[in-house]
Amino acid sequence: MPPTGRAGPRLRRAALTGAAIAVVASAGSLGAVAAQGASTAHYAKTAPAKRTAKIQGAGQFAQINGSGSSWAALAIDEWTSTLANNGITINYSPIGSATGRDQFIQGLDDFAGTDPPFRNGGDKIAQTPPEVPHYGYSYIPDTAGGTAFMYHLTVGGQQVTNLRLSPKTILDIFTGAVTNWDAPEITHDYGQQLPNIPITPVVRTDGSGATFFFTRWMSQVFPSEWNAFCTKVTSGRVKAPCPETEFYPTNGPGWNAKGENGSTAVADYITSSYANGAIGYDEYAYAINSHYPVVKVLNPAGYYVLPTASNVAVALTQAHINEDKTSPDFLQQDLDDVYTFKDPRSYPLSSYSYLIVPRQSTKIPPRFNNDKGATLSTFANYILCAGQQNLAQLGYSPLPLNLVKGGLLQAANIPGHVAGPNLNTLQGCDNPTFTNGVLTLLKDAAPPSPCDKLGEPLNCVVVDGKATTPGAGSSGSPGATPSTGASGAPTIAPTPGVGNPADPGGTVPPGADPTTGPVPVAGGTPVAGTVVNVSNESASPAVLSVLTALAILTAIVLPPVLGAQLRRRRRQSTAGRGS
Amino acid sequence: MNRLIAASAGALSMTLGLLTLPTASHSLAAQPHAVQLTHKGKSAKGTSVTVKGPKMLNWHTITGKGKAKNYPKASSVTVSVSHDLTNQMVHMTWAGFTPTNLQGGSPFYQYQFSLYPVEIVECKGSHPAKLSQCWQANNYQEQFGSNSNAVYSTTSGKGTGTADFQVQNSLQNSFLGCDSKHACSLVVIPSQGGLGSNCANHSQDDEQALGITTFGGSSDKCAWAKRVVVPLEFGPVLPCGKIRNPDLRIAGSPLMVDAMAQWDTGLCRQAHPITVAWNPSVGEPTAIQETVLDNLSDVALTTNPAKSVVSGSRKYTYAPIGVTAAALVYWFDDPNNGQPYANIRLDPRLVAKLLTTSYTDYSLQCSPNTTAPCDKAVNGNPADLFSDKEFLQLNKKVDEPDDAIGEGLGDVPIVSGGQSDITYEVTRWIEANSAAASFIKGHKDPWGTHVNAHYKGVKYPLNIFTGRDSSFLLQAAYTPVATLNFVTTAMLLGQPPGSNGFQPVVTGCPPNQQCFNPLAGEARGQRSLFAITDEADAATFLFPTAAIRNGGGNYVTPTATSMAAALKTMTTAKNGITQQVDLSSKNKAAYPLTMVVYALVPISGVDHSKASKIARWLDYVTGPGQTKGELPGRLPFGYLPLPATMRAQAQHVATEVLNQSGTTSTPTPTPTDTPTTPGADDPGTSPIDTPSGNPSATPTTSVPFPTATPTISTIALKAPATAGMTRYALPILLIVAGLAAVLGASMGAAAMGPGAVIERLRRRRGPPSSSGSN
Repeated sequence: MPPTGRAGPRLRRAALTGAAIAVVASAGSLGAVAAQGASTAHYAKTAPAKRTAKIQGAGQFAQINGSGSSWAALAIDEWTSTLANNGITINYSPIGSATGRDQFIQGLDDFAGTDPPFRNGGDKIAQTPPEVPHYGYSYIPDTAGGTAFMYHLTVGGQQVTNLRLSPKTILDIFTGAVTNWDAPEITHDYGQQLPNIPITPVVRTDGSGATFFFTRWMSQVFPSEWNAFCTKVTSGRVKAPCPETEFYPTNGPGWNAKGENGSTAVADYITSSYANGAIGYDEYAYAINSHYPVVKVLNPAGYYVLPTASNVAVALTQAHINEDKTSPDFLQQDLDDVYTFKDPRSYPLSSYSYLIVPRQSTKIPPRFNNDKGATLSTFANYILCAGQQNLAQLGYSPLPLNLVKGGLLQAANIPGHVAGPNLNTLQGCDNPTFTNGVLTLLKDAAPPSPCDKLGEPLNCVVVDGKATTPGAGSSGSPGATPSTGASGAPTIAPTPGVGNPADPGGTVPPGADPTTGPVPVAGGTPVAGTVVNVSNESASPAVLSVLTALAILTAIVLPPVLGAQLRRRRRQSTAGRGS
Repeated sequence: MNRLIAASAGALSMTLGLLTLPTASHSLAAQPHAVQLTHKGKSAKGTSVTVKGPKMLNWHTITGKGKAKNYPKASSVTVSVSHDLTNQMVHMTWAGFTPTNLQGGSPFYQYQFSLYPVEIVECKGSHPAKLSQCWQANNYQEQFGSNSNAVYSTTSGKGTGTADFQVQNSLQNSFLGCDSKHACSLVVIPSQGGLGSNCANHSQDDEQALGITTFGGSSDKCAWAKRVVVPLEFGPVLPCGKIRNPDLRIAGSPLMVDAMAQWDTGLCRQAHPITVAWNPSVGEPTAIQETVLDNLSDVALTTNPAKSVVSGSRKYTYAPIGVTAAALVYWFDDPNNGQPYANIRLDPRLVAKLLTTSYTDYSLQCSPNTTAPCDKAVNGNPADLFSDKEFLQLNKKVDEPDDAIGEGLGDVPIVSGGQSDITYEVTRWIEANSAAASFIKGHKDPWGTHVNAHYKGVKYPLNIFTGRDSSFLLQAAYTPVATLNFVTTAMLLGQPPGSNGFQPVVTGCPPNQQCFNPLAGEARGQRSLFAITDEADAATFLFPTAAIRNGGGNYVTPTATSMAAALKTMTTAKNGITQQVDLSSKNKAAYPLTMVVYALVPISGVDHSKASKIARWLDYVTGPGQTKGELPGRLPFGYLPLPATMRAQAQHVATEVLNQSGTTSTPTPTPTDTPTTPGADDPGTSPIDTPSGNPSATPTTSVPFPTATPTISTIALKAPATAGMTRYALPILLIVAGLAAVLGASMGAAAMGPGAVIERLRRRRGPPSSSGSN
């Protein structure tokens, strides 16, 4: 050993190394082979069996596997862990929507989680080919949510947590038109100027629904700007009109973003100590998980709003659903009217995610069978009903009634499905989020704080239900409600480890030029402590309210000279940005 | 060159897939060698079982004509538990097996490219005749890879080996269907070479016995013929019945994942079942906020107390529900025999070095010849733990594992991101040690190692891990994961999160896109992985857990004894209720990272219906739920049952919850600062209330408890049925195995090519003399 006279061990090893890796690595290609081989045997053979739920017995549920959307993953994680107690084993890997759909196409999984539907036309920007599903499928909505903009802005050792931006400014940031936090566009939205900190836009590099939702919104709301960006960044390879994409360009002429692979990596980058100035997009749940602030986005009604469960629910009342029950695109979403909805509570970047499941009387994935269908339909019935009630805790929003009903209808098209709740009365659907067919959340959705209205200054407080600016009469009223409190959502996240003890007062943005003398403020609101004091490892929830109160106080107290400094600098930087 | 190898790997995958498939499912007629069951003692529950196997091939005796002798002594396999099994890990050891050959295949112990590896599979029945009765990655019984629990391993030069195996019951695996009525078995299949059906011809063993391909190739018949079968007896499988609408919403504390799962299956069996909607991924501080401020949850689980426990009419208090610990776990595989090291000891400064990414891991070292990006912030430091004299002084005879095939940085710690009480406790333990605290402040250790400059002066304790070193490689590699569950997954799969910062060479990265290679997966036999998780997961998955230095200077692991000792050192927070370990205690037996988990429950402002459900839940989990056992309603591995005082305390709180009395004899926690009080920006914004500094105080014991409050005692508490449990974590963790392995292995190879990898490892391991067998 080893025998001589044949290929040397080193060479052979190299070859076999490749082979051995292939054994492990070839899930995709092997699956494709298997799928093709098996396809004839499985084609249209499965009869639509009507079965009753067999929940009582032990070990009766076949295990099922799915993969895909990380946007919805935290909700799916809760559902699967809850159902595990009932003997239902569902394995879900949050590997991204695009990969999840590919796994389904190849017949490797029993279901997929995805935010976009199948990309029948491919992805022009990413140059991915059209997706051609081999097997019959239906879409089942699983959870709604908002695409949130998580950011890291530390000024003078203190984290900014009350950032508000208009859609146009968000577009400008993510298309390279605005590159510094001191830009006038941001100052205009925010209500005061931030210091000179370069913006680092953070994008997902893996095919992701968050990217899809975000770019679809941009392409619909700002078609000309989006087209211009898209053609420029691809050096003309993609011609207008540019569609949405699942793969955000990370670089190109005039554009250089920080690319991160997956939701977790995006959050990790933004929260790192070296990422001051970073802003990224993802499902709200990830910001909550990181305890980090997200941008209040200006909605078409003129209010800065957060992606809370109720604000998302309000927005999604305007989603148009493909109601053609015979169409495979049944329940696909058209969000155009969501983007423009003029309810003061509506969060414009709201959307929902789907499960892609096999459909009876069509070609069935090779490893799917009626037993798995019983499990999958039980899962679907659960998530559409009882599973919807605890989503706000995670940063999601419950689905509206029409989607729940449509989803239940599709669950009844899964091969081997169990009997579901009554589609008309919803009897048997333990969904407490409805009262007489109306989403309770929607009914109870609180209006935004008057201080979140466009034009209200940052130091606005609510007194007797009205927006009031301290200093203009009722300053420092003890009954004042912090503007951030009205939405009832976790809006301010203390960040640890970013504190700068060198500037305990937190009054002077570090970027401010000390040589710049005080100049008078001309007509602007005083630029002040827009930031809040955050200790290094603060975590107390009650602190949040304190912080807001502090922010207000600071705003009141600070001298206007600071504003002058910033104003002067803004002019300089604006001039410098001309080219 | 790299492209070529990767491309051929792709092409081969098709060929190999086709080859592997049919042969693997062929009927293999060979009979197993006589297997004799020798229970240790009287096959009592939970005792180990040893099975004798055949005499294995001695490849040292292979002649030029390919003939060989067997070892004279019969082989044997021992499984740690073989009765009343549920979905759990068992530990296996074997002896008298054919040593993995390091001359003919890979120069390292690893199952993929070494000669004579071992495969372990779970099979239907106690006498499986065919491999197709077994759940195996490549036999296509149901699906490829995704949730196979097959394990591949290697055998040391002494003929011994170990592996941990997840046995699955019918809930996790309907193909196998193992339960109390359907016996199953563990089958150890040793690669034995052979040529086709001629198992005596070893002339081509360097191909026929190479790597895991041998188990799906033409020589698998010879391997199967020498299988050793260990019969398994499963307990009954009784999940909850009807899916119910949740009665309670609970948030927080991933420490309680395992206990909550078992409690849930016990609670659903009650005369009045309680169903809990709980998401473990919500960190404790967020959970408190969502419960107290946002009312998105009825109960929060936390170790560190809240600042305020009042919100409108709702007032909250704490009830202890669990005792467990943070665990510093590792897989360090001995390069001399491929077996994992155990009994590793770590002090706070070593852990600080890992958490601050202060090692250079070779890749970051700056030198005149370096072309790769180096990191001045760590320059001059040891490459990793295994070249750190402080570590070597604590751990004699530990050699550097052949880790991180591909691109180094295998020692980047695997931790959870987001706010977490585990993070707080670990960093509090570091900060309490003067040597470690001084190191972080910037003082060198006695051997000249300095803290990563980006972390110098970082204020511990903190409750979130965030990256601070933006150097090219560390930024990509150091990736705190979203939840603790993913930490455990990474350890199970040997797949560190993060990427290596390099763009993949061949994969389809869309234009105008950056794409990165994930860090290389680390194969069993070569692992060098360090992670922070909880003791429940560490115990469930049998992770080796570091003995760490306590205030008394002793090195202790988390055990029932050491956690109980730590409870005795606890100090009480200003709220008069919640407790934490006194790290200055000189108690030599105490495990310093012991943690008490509290339920933050409302004692006023909640309607009776909800209140009674919370009360019954609390009554149950701190009552029958504190009896140890892997059964519905019982307390699983890794938790210490609450001591009597804490149980009484919790049951008392249950009464308060039920009555919504609001004010009680318990010291009502007063908010230390209120939302309207500015000026809370002092050190008091720490999530932890400063301990009262009374180490021996256990104030809760002074509160008089009713032994059984009338209202609560009327709640029928049926004894938990003797039944199998469900544990959701295991299958979820395994599902990603296929994919992660795929990505890790293929990407790593694609980027560097195996030749380069091996070359690089040789370089790292120094002169050949150090890499010989022991």
